[in-house]
Amino acid sequence: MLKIEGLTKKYGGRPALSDVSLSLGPGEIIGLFGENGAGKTTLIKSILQLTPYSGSITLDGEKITRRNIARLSFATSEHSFFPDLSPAGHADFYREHFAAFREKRFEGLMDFFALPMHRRPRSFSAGQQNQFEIILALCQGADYILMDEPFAGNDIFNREDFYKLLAGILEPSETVLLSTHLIEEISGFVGRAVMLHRGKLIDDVQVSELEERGISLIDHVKEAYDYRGDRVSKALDSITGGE
Amino acid sequence: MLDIRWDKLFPPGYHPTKKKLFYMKGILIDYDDPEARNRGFFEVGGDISDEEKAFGHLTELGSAVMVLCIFIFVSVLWLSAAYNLAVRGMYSRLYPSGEKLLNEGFIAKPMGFCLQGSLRGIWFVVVFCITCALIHYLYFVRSSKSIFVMKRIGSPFELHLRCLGFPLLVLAAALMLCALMILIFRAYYFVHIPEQCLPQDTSIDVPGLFRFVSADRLLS
Repeated sequence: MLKIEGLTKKYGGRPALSDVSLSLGPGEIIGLFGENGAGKTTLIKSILQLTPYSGSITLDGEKITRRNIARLSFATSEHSFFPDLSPAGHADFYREHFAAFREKRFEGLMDFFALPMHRRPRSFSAGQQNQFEIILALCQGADYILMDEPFAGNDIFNREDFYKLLAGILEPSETVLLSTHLIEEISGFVGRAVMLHRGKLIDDVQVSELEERGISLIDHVKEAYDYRGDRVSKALDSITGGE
Repeated sequence: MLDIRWDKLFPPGYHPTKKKLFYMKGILIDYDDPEARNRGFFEVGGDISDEEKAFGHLTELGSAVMVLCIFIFVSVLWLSAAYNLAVRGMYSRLYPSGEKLLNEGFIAKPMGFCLQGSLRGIWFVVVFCITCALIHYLYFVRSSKSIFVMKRIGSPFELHLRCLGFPLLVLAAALMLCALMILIFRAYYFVHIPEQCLPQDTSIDVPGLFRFVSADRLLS
């Protein structure tokens, strides 16, 4: 269980996260939503101990340190692979440093996406780089896979493939926290939706609950963010003078 | 336990024999983007591809060897000057035969005094090593944030070993060369200066070897 309690983070006095508390259980697939600047990336980076924060983040009751941080993996749109190390070299590196590295999964995914094993990722296309980034996160052998906008730059077919693959290959012990703006696309894939707004946790809901109530995830998100559908027409009216 | 292999002294995927080191863009060293390399430093439309052909193979490994060679060359010059300073006035030459005559009562200048600043070239090597280390650290945050992976691996030393390993190796090589050059100088000093001319103080001021001292001292 990954437990976040009272997480607060400020950037130069400006709060990025305010008193966020959240628990991620084994086997969950969680969508993390929020507008730009809501604190999604800060939340993920805090979990990964990449940024200082106040509050507590524990993994099965223990603080996250070098001893247990390999249980977390990370795929980011910024990319975290070594740009000059071939995928084969990455496999060697991960095998050496992550005891639970999933060799078979790595080979299978590389093969599926037809990524070259002996070329430098620097020379990959943007889409291929994203694929490789996600493959590494999935194959590290982590229990908690954190993804921050991993599909930025991938086409819809690629993304669809990934959702299907993810649903198929994840083991019951693997938890995914997926930060994305592509709410409609992942609504059939995530089991839980966590929403941040201006650094605050505003909602945490099971998708099955929404289904029972007959509400789609996107409608629920719009409701949670108090989205006013008429604001565009009002703005257009004021700009054009209602012509 | 630290696993020190040659490839572990560099960032993963980093090739010290393929990278180009001395292409500066602003304060960053940019060796990966040929477009960026050509932009900004040369006249508009200027092309450095010919120069690249000649100097582009100057790799980090090759640069290290070159820096060490320059260090040896400069140090040998300073050590020769130090020896000349020590024995200046030891002999008189007879006219017109040119025969050397040892000046009675001459005492050579102490080694500690003459050698001051003779290995100051080490600072050139130090600057090179700091640049290398900086490039290695930058590798983990440029192009991609592979630093995130390095922070998730078990060993806290791995990142620093890969960034500082090679520069420290170069520095160690430079220090060994220092020791070797001083040993040779010391042997030469004792062999070539007659025993009665040796000063009482034959100690060497080690920090003084690396200090910057005025060249005027050689003329004093």
